[in-house]
Amino acid sequence: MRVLVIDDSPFIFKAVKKALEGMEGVVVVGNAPNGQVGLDMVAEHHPDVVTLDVTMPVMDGIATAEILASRHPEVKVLMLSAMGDEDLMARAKALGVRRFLTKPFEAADLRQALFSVLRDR
Amino acid sequence: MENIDRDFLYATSAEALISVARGAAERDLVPLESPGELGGEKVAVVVGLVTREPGKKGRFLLEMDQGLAEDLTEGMNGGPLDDATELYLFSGELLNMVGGKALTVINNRYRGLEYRLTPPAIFAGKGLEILTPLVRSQVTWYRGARGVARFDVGFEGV
Amino acid sequence: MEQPGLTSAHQVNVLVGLSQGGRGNVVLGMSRKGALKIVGGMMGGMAVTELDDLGKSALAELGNMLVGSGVRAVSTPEGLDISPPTVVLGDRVFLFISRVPSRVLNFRTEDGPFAVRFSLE
Repeated sequence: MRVLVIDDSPFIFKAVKKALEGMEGVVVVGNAPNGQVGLDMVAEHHPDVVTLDVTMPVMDGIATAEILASRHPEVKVLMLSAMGDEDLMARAKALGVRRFLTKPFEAADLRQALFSVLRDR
Repeated sequence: MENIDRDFLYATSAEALISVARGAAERDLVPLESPGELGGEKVAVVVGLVTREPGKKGRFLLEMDQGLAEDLTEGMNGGPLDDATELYLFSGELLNMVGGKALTVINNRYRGLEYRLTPPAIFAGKGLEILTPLVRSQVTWYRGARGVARFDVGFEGV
Repeated sequence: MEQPGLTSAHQVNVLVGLSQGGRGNVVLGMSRKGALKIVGGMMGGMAVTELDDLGKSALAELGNMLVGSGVRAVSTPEGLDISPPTVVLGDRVFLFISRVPSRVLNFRTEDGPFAVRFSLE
């Protein structure tokens, strides 16, 4: 599984890498600090899954999810956010995001969520 | 918009701080029965809570001994930080997560408030005096392994 | 345009956060002498020799008015909104307001410097 982290937080990038460390067949291909760079990196690195932050400069997670859904429907999205209220999740779900994890997350929850979203059709 | 239970806001916010310190930094913050005393060098983080509902905005202010800020952020990093900037970046991220966690519960309880956070601002130095005159706040104190923290949760006219 | 990082702040700072239609921070910075002059002016021209609770409240209101009017002048579809102002005092203050580069507008008054630092993600 190739994972791209789209998040402006260096802490989250480190946390995702740490959670996936040593897992066979899993590689973190990079970190994009905003959605715009993230879309470029999706085109370059062809990840299977992206972890997508909601609040980012330049292009936020909601706008990024919308573009991903149309340009790269094969890429699965796990949305990560400090905020997880129902209105925000409803907006994400309307864009086809089916998995949502609030920060901070347990490493085991992240791993489970990533594998779940990979299995989603 | 129903009346908002101020005690609920305060309790939810305090729970979020302790939970995020444990979850993100693997550190325990122990509530103090009486006000503590911050040392000389402080790190203070502020996030604003903004809602379209009139008269209900707020803010979180977390003031920490520099040693405690270093301990929490080292916990988040899993080891010593690369440089001084990371202390402030990670401190900001910590309060951002505290705010997010608290507002998730608050937004779900009071549909329509739709609080959103402002980006964290970090102030550092000796002898800082920080106040938000236009809100009514509650202050709780905590002790960590390397110092004391003051958590000030304030809302306009709630 | 300054890069993100810790910068030296003034003796008196008023922080106002931005959210809803965008995200950012604005910090008004001035000397203690300048703050006393401004507060005196806000109170009808009286001489103010120390920053008491009323004076600090006046500074917060200054932040409210200045940033609030600036935000109203910038119309975004979603409508930027401001947080309650926070006043920060100290003789040796450093501040970090954003992960993205910020701009500073520096003014000189007869009572010292007045700066507006802002970042918008």
